[in-house]
Amino acid sequence: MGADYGGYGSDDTTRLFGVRLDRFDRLRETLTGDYKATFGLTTVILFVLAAIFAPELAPFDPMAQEYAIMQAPSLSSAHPFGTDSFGRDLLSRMMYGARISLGVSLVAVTIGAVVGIGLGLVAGYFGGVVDDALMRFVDVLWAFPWLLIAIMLVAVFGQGVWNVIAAIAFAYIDDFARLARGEVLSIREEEFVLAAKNIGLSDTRIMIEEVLPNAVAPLIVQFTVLVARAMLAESTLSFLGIGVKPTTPTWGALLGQGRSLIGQAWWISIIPGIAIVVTVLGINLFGDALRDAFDVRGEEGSP
Amino acid sequence: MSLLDVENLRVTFPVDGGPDVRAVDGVDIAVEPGEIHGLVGESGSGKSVTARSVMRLLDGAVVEADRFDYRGEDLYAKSEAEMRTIRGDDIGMVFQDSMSALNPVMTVGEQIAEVVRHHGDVDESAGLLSELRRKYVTGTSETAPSWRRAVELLETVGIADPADVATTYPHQLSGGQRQRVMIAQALGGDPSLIIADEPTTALDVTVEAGILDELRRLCDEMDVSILLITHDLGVVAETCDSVTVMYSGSVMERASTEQLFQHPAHPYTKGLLRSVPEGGATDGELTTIPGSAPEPTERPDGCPFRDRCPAAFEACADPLPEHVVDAGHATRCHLYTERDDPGEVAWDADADIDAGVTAVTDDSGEPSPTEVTDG
Amino acid sequence: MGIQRYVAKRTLQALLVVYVVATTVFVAVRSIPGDPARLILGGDADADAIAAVRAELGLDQPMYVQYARWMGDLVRGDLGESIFTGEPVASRIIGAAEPTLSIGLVGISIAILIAIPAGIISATRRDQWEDYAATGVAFLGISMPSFWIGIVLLLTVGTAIPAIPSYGYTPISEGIVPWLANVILPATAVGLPYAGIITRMTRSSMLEVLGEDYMQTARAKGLPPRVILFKHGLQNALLPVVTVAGILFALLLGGIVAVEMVFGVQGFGRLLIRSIERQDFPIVQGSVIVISIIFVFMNLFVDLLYMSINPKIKYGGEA
Repeated sequence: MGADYGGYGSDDTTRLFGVRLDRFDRLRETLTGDYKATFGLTTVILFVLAAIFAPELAPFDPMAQEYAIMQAPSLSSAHPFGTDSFGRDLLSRMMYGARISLGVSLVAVTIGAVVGIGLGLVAGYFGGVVDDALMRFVDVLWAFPWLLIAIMLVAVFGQGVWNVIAAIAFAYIDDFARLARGEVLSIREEEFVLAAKNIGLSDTRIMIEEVLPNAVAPLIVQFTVLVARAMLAESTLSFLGIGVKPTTPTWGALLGQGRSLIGQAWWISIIPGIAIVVTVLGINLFGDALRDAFDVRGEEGSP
Repeated sequence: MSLLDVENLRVTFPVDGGPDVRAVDGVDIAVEPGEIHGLVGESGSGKSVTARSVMRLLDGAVVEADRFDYRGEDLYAKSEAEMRTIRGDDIGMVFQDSMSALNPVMTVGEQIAEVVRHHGDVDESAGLLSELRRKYVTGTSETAPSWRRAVELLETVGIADPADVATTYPHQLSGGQRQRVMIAQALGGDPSLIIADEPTTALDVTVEAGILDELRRLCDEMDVSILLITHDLGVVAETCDSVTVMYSGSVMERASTEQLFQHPAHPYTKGLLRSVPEGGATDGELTTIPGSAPEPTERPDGCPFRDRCPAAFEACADPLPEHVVDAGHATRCHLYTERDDPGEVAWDADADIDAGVTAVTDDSGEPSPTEVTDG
Repeated sequence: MGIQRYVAKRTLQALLVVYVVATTVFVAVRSIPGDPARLILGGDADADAIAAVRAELGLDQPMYVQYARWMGDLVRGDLGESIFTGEPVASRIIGAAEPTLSIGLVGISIAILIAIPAGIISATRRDQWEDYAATGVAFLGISMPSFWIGIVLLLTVGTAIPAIPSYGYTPISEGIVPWLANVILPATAVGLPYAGIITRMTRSSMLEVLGEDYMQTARAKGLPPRVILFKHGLQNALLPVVTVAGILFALLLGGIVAVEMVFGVQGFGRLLIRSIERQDFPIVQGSVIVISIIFVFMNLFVDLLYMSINPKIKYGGEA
């Protein structure tokens, strides 16, 4: 069994930060041969590029109001995605919005991952009382649906990017903690971990250099899935008007503003939605291809 | 007429992006009415695949044979619907790992009773809706003939308190009890042939002896023939009337149990028998032969055993011959067809220890170098 | 572990979680900047009036007294009064519950009715067009925000079929048909993402079950394919789905709140959002606690359901 994970100094496979590189051979094969992965990755890259280069690419200033077409939102060749009720160009607003939507999700899930994986590692590695205490804490986190965390944060601190990030990060800590703990529990009895203990490596070193690299595959898959879900959560919060400040053009907020104009300007409610769906679909498909590539079994969707 | 008569069976598994795997390469098997026929070989010798091919349970495999007759009728000429009236009905099957082979969410009584309903002589509806109603709504009535028969069968296979045991779930029973349940289940359709695939491998030696006695008794008293698949020559010695020895997809030797143990002909059989205690059972590990069985894709031409055979010579690269040693005793070794005197096979007594390999393994899978575990 | 002990232990755990949630809410509300009394009375109220309201709310008491009062009220089901209307929070929440529960329950029902057959077909017809279709739709489902599905439904079905009202809510007391007609679009919007996840779950779990030894045993017993699939396979395949279905209530909640806004349903979600906008804290804190309670006990219920369909737990063995 030890060989499956790469034992402590037991083979001469090339490694990067302790992760056996041959594990990624199948990943490369899958990613080049799989239509899901190709579509997913391409989509995500396109949206990320659009977000990064929004100032260069956007045809208009997202805040510039065109008085001539104010109150008369329309689709035209100058504004292929239409304009909103203030005469602002929707395409430009969406490109800037992508920065918020993608950025918030990535940062939130990264924070959730760091904290959650840390908790899970420690709980799983040490077991006993430490494990019990940490996992009870995780249980409590889990009993707060993310929406409630967001509502409480907004109620206390008002609206803001960091509140949204905090709410989503909080909500995903338990997902990462549980997964990491489960992985660690199965890895910590492996021979290469026992060997590392025998030669006197410190617990911290064993956790970071021996245990973590071997739990990396399912955690990456989890990360991808949760980024997709975080985008949906962020858009919901913005749509409800309890997310990022209403003046910031996130995709969810654009949809929220379009709601009152649904009769006369359907595109404001539809087009940013399509952006959300395509991006999230891309991330989900990419995540699924990763799951196949890493051969990660298990739940399709714990929230 | 043999009950089961298979000639030149070949089973091939197509592999995506690789060479096809021929798991069984020209096997003859004959089971006579009223006997227990042993099919013995290492893991990966193709014995389980051979057994499953009789039930036509090999999805995705290409099965070819010159003859595949059960009671004189070609099993592979039958439709899937006709096969369903043979599986569980005329041929019962007992699997090795009773924990995973029994359904965890159904009582063992119901698992036996459903066989009785589908194949036995009871007047109970066995359609999908009746079965689902029974499972989820009403439960199986304990006065239903199928249930009473299930309890009877549990008693037949030596279960104490059969009525109580029938209402339990598999995980509540011991390994030996579960294996008896598997046998009762195989008996549910009143079969003429039971295929038992390593039925005792997962069990303790004492429990194993009980199960083997049970099979022997069923064969003698209920006129059931048994095809017993095993890796353990001890089990063969104890239970079987006749035996077929397989190695890497081919038959090496076929004989009555007595002939095989008294006058083994094939060097492989001799190697296997070398350290089996006289007529006694072994507990799992049989013996050791240097080297390991070839992968199906890397078999040498001719005799698959020749790379490990101490008596190998040039002719071994030729296709396997058929040599009749005695009435009911045949071997497929070139020593008998190419040499006037096959002579004695010189097995080096220490070879296995030097090589540090276990050639014939128990159920743990492929023969592999013994792992060195310290601490 | 006996079944009663297990249930007792899980219930106790659930209550503990609710207690921690309630405490957190207490602390959170006290850390909101500003004086609730001033908020109630408006900016130009005089000091005496403010002091009177503070006394009435118990805000002049020491923290631990406030905490004890807060917990005591909770236990008696008293969630306080709305700052703006003075109505008891509990009755506001109960009043808003029917539309929300209707959307949620119909949504879950739609999801399960679609997802479980789709998952089974997907698994049994693996790598054929049925599988690709089901998988594709499922992926689309989990990638769409509920409220956006609502908007699309509103623009398409809602405008195309006048018989389906796309706004507001009809209480169930006015008849099942008008109620259902009114609930069906929001419920679908909420249910589709849920259906996507359950389809994927059912598929992977069914695929695993199809490879199990006992499925081959069932074949070796000569049972017809449909009996093998539904009698031997289905229950085993649904065991893991049940556990996840419970966890997914969190997902459902966000969906319902947003969908209520799309369809102008005067439900719990709308109450919640309005209260945040108006800073009606008693309603917000009451809602948070009620949702946590529902959430925790839903999961307890799912646990018990799982136990009742899994004999391994019901009859001992692995606990």
